[in-house]
Amino acid sequence: MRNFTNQYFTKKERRSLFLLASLVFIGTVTMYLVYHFDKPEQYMMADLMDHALKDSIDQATQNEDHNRDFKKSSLAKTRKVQFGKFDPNVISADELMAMGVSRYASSNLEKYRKKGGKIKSKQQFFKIYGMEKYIAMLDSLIRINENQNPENANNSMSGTSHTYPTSKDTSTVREKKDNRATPIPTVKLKVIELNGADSFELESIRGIGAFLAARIIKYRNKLGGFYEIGQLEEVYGMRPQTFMEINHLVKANADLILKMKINSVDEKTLAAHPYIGRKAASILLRYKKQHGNFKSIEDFMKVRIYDDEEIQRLKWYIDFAE
Amino acid sequence: MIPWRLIPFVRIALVFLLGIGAERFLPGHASTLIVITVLLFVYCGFKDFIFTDEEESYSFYAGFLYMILFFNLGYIRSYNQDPSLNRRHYMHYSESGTSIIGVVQEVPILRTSYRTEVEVEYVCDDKGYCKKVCNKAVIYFHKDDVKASQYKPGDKVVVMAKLEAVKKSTNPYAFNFQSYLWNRGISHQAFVWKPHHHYLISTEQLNPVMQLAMNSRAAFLKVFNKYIKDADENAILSAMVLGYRNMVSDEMYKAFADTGSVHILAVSGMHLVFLVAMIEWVFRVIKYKNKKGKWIITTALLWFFSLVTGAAPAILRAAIMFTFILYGRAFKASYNMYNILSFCALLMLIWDPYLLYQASFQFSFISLLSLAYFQPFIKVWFLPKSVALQRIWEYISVAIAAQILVVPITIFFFHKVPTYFILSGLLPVLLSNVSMNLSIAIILIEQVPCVNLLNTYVLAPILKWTLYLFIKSVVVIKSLPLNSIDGLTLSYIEFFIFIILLIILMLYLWEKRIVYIYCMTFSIIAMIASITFRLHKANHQSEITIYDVNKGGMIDIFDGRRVYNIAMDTLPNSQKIFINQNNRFYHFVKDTFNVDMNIDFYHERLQKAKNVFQYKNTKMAILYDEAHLCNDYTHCDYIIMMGNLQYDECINIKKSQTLIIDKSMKYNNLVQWKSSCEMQGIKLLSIRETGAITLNIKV
Repeated sequence: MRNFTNQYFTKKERRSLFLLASLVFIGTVTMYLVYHFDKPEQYMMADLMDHALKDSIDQATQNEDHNRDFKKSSLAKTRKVQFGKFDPNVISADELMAMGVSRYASSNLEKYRKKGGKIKSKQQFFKIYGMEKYIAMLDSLIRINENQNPENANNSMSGTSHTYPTSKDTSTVREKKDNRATPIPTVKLKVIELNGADSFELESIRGIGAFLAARIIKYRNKLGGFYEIGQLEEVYGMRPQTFMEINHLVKANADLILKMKINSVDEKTLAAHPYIGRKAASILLRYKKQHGNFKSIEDFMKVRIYDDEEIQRLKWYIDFAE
Repeated sequence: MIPWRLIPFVRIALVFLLGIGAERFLPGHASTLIVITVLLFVYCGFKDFIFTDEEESYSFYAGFLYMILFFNLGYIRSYNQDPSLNRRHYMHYSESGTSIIGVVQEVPILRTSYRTEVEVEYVCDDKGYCKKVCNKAVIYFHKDDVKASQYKPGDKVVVMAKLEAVKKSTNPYAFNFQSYLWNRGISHQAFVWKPHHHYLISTEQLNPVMQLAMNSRAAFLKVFNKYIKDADENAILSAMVLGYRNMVSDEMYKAFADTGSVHILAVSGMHLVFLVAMIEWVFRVIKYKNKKGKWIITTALLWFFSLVTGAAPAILRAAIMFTFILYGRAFKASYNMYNILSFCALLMLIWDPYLLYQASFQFSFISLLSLAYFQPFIKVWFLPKSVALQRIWEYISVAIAAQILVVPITIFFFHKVPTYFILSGLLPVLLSNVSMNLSIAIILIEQVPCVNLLNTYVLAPILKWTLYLFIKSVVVIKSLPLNSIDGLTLSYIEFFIFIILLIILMLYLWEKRIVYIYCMTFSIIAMIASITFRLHKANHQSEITIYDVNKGGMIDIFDGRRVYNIAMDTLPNSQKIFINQNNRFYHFVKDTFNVDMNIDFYHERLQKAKNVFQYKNTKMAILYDEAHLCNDYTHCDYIIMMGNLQYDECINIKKSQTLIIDKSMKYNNLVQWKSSCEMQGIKLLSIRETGAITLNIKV
């Protein structure tokens, strides 16, 4: 023990050890003070989203050398509708979906408005079925304009309107765009049907590369087909801005969906469907065993494993034929 | 006599890690030690920098003072590492948080669900206010969630889920997942079962160096996918060369673990040895002799490789160590293996003291220490003249040496010892070396246009065959009888004695003093006595363990070295084994009887009629159906409820009886049962509150 501790450090070693120990001690004390006195800053979720998307756009802009002007303008437009503040009386279902709201909740809002409903308060907005889940995300973004004429606003949304003021950055981008001498180039592009397209056709769309095309096809094969273009957002790697850029270039023909014969399909195939999964497949088959074949979508609702939103999307993929 | 003079960092590292350990087991003395440390700094600073006259007495106790200084620093550093001290840690805001924004740190791994680690950047409440926070959390996604499966490191995601504190399993001898995560700086987890409750908002959010490494890994994986089509071969290659273990199936991983070759799958120092050997071979071929240039190129490639493979502690340790060793070799500075090893450990522990409790850190340092210390002694046992035999013996001696110090840790944590580790240290290691060299050559050649035909027609087929033989060799070793000894256990005392025994062995080999032989003999006798005592206790044990299980209850009745298992049908077999295996190992179980809940059972000391069990003179009723509630159980000592049974007034329980409710009972029903028992003065034990229960049955 004596050998372990005593004279075996030279003066040079002692000085080096002293310096190392000092560094460790000072570092530890500094960390402690930072931990103790540093309070976390507070932000609004909407601003964070806006910022994240801005970074993402900057990154994409840097990576893309060709058609820079076109890209910037379309991305700026995308950003405006992505996470900016919005009026629930005028925003479209697609735009809400681009913000991360489910298709079901978005379409419920649209249906409500079509029937003449008008959102007068935030509380009323979150009473829309399916919308209550997004209170945290959307609460600070809602700006209800009492004087707004929904019809005019709807028209302006599809173009480059000033209906949805967002943050300062967005306004700057928009002003720049409005002041540009040359208008945004408009190109008439072929609209591609998602359920019949092969990877080459998908790759011809700007924004879809070989891998994304392969993923779209892989996901389409798993699903059986797309019944609406909004489902593209479920594909991994499909960023909201990419979706916004391409959504007018694609369409989905629901007649081409390959449906599953629920009454004869095996558990493995059923479980492989992205909207069903292994556990639900097992429950469904057990239910069928106990209660007989499924005859309609109402039978599905009796199993009580899906909510209304899920039933609505599942009905496209189920064939109840014996 | 140990030449401590030559290895100053060994002494410093040892006391530093003792300080870290002391903080964990004797907490609450940080402020006292800070005061002592400041005084030591003042005194040593004066002595070593201001009054520099060398005094005989000071040089005598200076070593002692520096030992205390570094012990204190270990303690203070460990104290400061406690995540709860950091006011920015998300744990302080997780209660009000309903969603988080964070950056994915690793590719989601599929086990029962997709699991990934996320560096939490913001915790947001239901009003949309977000706090900027830090530290990692574990996020679980549903196993069928295609979107989650494709997240990659650097993806920034929004997750609409609440962070929950990771709870400790209360089952006896169960793996402590809470402590495992805590030592990695993770305290919370979140479960996201719906695909629309999470989405990607941006990509490539890691720091630029890590992002470059991750992008390179993705590019290299594509090269492997192009040439190696077989799923198993591709999985092994990706794990071995790029540290990408997602494609390795559970069966394959188990086969490697059972044969003692799992270290090949986890990128570690061994892989860096192969890489350095390959780089040096290239230098020899191209006759490049600039030592400084060689050091810079080799070190740069080593670090790039370490980052590409995910920068695990094992590989970082090896990279730091190789940097110093290569530096020593390049500039002819003298270096000592143990000193470098200790310096690496010290640096890593200063950075993160909790690494000390991580198995990968322990294994990598201890196996290397074992290898460095014992291999020279083993190598001289056999000195063949043939060069081929010399190479083979070298591999064998490495395999034996690396195992010696690792054995007690393997038994203590994993309860098994691979028996054919010499075989698996020979052929699979050799083939993995060849595979790694070939795969690196393929990656490099792929970057050169036109030449990549060489990959298609020459290197890729050779690599494919090498991988085939490599996997085959592991499978053959796995198929040999008694490929591993399972069910071994060590108590804390036995583990301690085992470690002491190995330290004495090291001292004996160094100094060859007879006193060490006596000490070793005494240690072995003490260990055998302790194991015999535990075995004797096990032969006479009468114990009932009611496990802490989320879905469906499980009970083990230990009668001597036999166990009767009673479990709900809903519990999968794999989960049963996961929960009760270690407990059975520690009870030295030889025979297992599974009791069917639906059939009456009679076997020596356990009888079952309907849902009433009698073990020796103890009777217990197991109620798992609401139809059982109204029967008469007044003759039973214990009433155990499994499943979510609603309160029913018809149940008849006496004050002398104990009601035990397992975890599958939902909270609202549990409250009803509790209030009813409180009113009647009946003893109630809820597994949800007490954790797993062990009842000692007295005859």
